[in-house]
Amino acid sequence: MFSHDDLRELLILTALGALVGFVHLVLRPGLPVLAEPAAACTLAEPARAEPPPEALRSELPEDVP
Amino acid sequence: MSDATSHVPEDMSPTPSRSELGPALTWLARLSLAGVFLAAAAPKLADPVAFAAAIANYQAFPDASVNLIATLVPALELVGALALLTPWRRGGALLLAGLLLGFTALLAVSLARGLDLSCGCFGASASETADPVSALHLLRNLGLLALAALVLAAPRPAGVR
Repeated sequence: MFSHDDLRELLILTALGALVGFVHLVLRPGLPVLAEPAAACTLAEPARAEPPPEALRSELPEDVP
Repeated sequence: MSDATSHVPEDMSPTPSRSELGPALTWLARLSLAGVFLAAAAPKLADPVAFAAAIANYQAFPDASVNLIATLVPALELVGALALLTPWRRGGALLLAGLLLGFTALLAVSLARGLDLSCGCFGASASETADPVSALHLLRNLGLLALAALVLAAPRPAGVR
């Protein structure tokens, strides 16, 4: 089905693709390779209290922030 | 009076023979596949952060690996597409077929999980609801896989080792 030459080409092209990816990463920083996306909140920092939507706000008494 | 068409040689007939059609179809498959993957790789390379966000939306990979995938996938697409236009076409077709199998599996799992998200196939869209994942994406990928199979069905070019 696939010859050794086919698989050799696949391996070389994959390695070349990885190289291109890392060169692109170095030349165009902005995407850390292994960084985790920023969490919405951490244990050290409580979650931000979001204000209620406008529809609910109109039902609240005036003194509620 | 003799019939003029009876003197037309066999190889001058307007209908291409089967042996001529094979390489032409393979060329068409190579050009189409290369064009699609070049068009897919360019926006992802231009905005890797947006593509990383599109990958994260699939909720299929560990967070730590998302950026690595967003770096490697467009580069592999670019290299595979360019290889299709060179004598290393079979290696390029194998590489793109592998990517397509991965994409198809990811799309199928997302559809089965009922995730409503943007495909991100041609880079991240401005809106998350643009180009939502659907069965059409699976069909498109199967069509592209057929093109890769067509390239692989052609014999290895002479002189390429």
